[in-house]
Amino acid sequence: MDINKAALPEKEIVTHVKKLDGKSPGGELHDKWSKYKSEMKLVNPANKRKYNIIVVGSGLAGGSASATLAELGYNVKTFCVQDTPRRAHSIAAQGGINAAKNYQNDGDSVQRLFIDTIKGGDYRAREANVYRLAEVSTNIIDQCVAQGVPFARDYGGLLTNRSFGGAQVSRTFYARGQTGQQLLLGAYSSMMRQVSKKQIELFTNKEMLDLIVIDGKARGIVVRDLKTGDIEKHTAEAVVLCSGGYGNVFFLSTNGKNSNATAAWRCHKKGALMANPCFAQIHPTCIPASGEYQSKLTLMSESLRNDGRVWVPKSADDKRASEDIPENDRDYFLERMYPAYGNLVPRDVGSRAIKRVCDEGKGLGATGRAVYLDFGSAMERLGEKNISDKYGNLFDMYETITGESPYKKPMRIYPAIHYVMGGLWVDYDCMSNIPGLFVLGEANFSDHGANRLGASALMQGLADGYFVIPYTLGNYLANNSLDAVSDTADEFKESIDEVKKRNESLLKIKGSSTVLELHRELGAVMWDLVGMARTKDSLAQALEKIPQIKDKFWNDLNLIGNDNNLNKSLENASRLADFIELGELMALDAYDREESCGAHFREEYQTSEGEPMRNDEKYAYVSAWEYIPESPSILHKEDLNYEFVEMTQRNYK
Amino acid sequence: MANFITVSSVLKKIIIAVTGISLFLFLIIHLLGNITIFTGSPPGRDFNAYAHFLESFGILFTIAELGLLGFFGLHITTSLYTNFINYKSRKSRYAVSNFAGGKSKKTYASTSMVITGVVVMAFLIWHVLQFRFGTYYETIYLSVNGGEPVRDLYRLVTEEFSNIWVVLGYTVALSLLSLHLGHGFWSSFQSLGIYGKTFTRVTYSVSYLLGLIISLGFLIIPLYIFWIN
Amino acid sequence: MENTINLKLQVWRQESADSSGDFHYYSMEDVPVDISFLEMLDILNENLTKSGIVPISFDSDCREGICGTCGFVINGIAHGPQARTTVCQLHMRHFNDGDTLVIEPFRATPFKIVKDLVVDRGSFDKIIQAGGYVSVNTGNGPDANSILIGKEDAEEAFDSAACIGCGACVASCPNASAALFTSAKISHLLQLPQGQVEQRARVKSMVDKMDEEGFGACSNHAECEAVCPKGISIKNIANMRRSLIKSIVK
Repeated sequence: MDINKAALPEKEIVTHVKKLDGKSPGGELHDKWSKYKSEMKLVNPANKRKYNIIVVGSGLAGGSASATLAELGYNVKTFCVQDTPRRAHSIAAQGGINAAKNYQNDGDSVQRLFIDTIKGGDYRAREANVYRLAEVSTNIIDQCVAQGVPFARDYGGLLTNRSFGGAQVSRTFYARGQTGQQLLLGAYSSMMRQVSKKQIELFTNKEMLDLIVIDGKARGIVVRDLKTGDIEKHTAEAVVLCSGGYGNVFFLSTNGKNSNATAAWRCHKKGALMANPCFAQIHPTCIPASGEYQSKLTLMSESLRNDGRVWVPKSADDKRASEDIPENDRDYFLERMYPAYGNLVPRDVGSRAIKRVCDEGKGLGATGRAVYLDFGSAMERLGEKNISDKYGNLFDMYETITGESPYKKPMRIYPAIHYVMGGLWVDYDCMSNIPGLFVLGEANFSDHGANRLGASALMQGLADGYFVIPYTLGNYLANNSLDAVSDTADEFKESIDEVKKRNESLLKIKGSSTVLELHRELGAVMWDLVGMARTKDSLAQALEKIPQIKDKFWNDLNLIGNDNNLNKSLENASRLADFIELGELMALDAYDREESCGAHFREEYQTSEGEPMRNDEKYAYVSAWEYIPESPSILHKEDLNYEFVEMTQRNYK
Repeated sequence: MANFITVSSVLKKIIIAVTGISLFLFLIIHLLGNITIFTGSPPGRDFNAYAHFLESFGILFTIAELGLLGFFGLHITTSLYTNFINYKSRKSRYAVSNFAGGKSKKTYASTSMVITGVVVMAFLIWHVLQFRFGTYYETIYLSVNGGEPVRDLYRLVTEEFSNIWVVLGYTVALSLLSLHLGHGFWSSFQSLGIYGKTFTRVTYSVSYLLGLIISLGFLIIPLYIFWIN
Repeated sequence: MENTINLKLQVWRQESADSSGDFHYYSMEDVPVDISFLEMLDILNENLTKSGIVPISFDSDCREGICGTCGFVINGIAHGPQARTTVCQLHMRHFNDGDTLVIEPFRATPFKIVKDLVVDRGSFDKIIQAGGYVSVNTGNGPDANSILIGKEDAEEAFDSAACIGCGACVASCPNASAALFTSAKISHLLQLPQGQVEQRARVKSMVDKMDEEGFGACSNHAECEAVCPKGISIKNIANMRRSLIKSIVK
């Protein structure tokens, strides 16, 4: 990328700073969204069919947005890289979805979900957005139940809830350990209904490779047909990007192998600001890597921490088998460090605690990178049957992968990259700084601030798609007169040439390093230097090493095959090129943010107890980076003004 | 049942199941009727009397026969057509095929229904030509048909089953029938949507046994006749 | 702990949907038993790439057995020998040193081979489009707790809804029937009050679509249930048939 490296040792690596407005509506917090809805402009039903809307991605955000916009009468074109939209990675979410229904009568409310989310995000999210998210959360559950999503029920037939990290109420709705799957299939089925009504045109096996901006507005995309290699162009009045997160920049993550940053990154290169890229969430309960060939990590739902207890041997030298270690010699360190929340501390807090004990040498196994998650006492208390009803499929999954049964031996877990809070910058309307480019779900910089609470990703994706975009998109279309554009416009021609040239040049390198090797190399740098705990020094190193990887990539890539048929290596190489650039921006963003907040933990900035120490005076802003070819990125700052909540130090003790 | 080519695959299987179950019931009646071959004096008296009793229904008997023919026809044509569709649905075949085991009910019998079916069909044609349309012997019993002559089917049966090749042919065909019934019996209920955890387990586990019992029941006659001669 | 095995692989390679394919033979040495089947293929592909041979195309995404992207046939069994497991979750510890593994794509006329082991299962979408949904627009739903669903009904509906759409049922069926896939969706909605209103039209339309797409008829081999990574029962197929009979009789 194009950072001025010479400037690195200086304190100010960012030379240009601009101010950015999130466009939150005025008024009282709880009135903002209803006021917006009542004051926004509407598109006449007869006119809706004149608008073509492109939706990129078919996960919870893309699926729900496609279905909802099509129901309203827009012509929707939905694109996904898979052979069917039902495979988007939202499907892998296990634990559940939050909603402020207060069905359990335990004191939950929209206000409380809002506060929990803001606090969980360590005060780095936009108040108005988070409140709206909490507000529409209840509608999501209604919508999903109406679609036939089989949420867990009580014997009386009512919905049941479980509790999740970062909350003291039970507000998480779930469908065994496959909540994401069921919600996605709900959105997918609504989408399929609209496909059958010809309101949605479905484009599978197509990857978005460029955004077309005409007269400053997003007016189309260029895609590659993954089966034939053909480059195609599509025009629209608005583009809704729902392409997910970029956790795979770390190579090993819980993301699907096809999850990538390319669509978002190409938008970034066309002028969309990338916000808070360094906020990457580490999930505390993943199955530890077994060896060098590990291709991805598998998450074990956070819900396991409801009944599982996390521990390591008290002594680093204790190499006894788990069953031989008596209670007295076990260190239930989460319960010890955080008596109030215990095993249910938020993800970032839990992950760092695990890292800390492993760094102290108490980690398990040959790698020393694992801790126990033990269900022994829960099984004694509730019986094995009960535990199996709750977590049976997770236990089976664990046994399939590791060959060990959690009923007999405690699970081993270790944190892994799971979700990114960063993403393309959007205003209150979920629109990026490029008019007509809307970004939803994990792809936007999101309502989760610097850290997302468990079971909130599903909530946000569906909130954006079902209940936000149908209003804000209409408002945009009604307020802007958009001239017809043709796919013969110069912008399309230039873009197609560039995309083709890029693929050709990748295939021409003929070096010796495979995509996988280079991706592993990038991942190692990202995990070691831009991972769970960062320092100014490690980030400076990363900013030096990543450009080297980039050089190596463009000079020594070994890529086989050609561009005119299915070529997964080519797809992966093209995505890796973007990951490398994005990785560099992440390091830069982390370098610039000289504080610790949520998932962004700079070792220099911590309390005496090892908790992240924010610097609200200097860093209570969203950092949004503008891409400038061949020169340093420009930082735009959106100041976060907390009108309705007080910023406090998070405390889960 | 307008045109069976256009009805859905599920309905076709329902047709196959209904006709299959009906034919299964027919086999049981047929088998019970066959028992008469072992009773009565002189040998064959009860058997011939039973045959005569059936024939005495006249037009009703003919209708029943035609009905049976219709059921066979429907069962066979629907199955053959379905099989043709199934064949088309996998134009390129696997190099290796296998049995997954566990919950699978795939067996050599279940995968060869069309083969066993076609062989049994050929056998049925032969069987009908052999006996229904075979040599018409007559005999007289004072107590049957008021002393008027009746068909001596027993004689035909004993003649035919004295031939080792006929007996061997029956043995082969009836063995295949046993496999056909083995998958067909439990499968018919499943095709009709009759499923229950216990019900399906029981019908499946007795299915192959029933097939075997019925086939053996039929096979006893040729073997017995061959033996006593 | 570092336990390894040697394997002989016989892999179906096919350039495109229209070209004819054949088997290629590869030897794999020192495969760690703790890695997954797909990671084993990753290693093979790395080796192929380094030798200048086009790597084997196979599909995968989540690699935790829920997205339904991966899948091929190993020695005649869809998703390989381990029950209730997709190939991404199949670990090498289930194989023996010296095994020969024949790897073929899911074969069925409606599943066109894209390349090597990759097939297009878009026809499943068409079946769902024919009625695999509840017709409810966003925002129309009543309060979630106003629809009461007994725990057991919800659980049974979930069992049916757990289908990941991988296509192993079709691949393993001697008739290439999509009955298990189709019936799982029909049955999921049949078991919930939300799905009742449209049930008659749904079952007819989805069954017709399944036939139209070129899938075979189910003849109750139940091989599908045995290979299904989610263990979806043929009970769903019975439900579909009963529902179809009801829709005609009524």
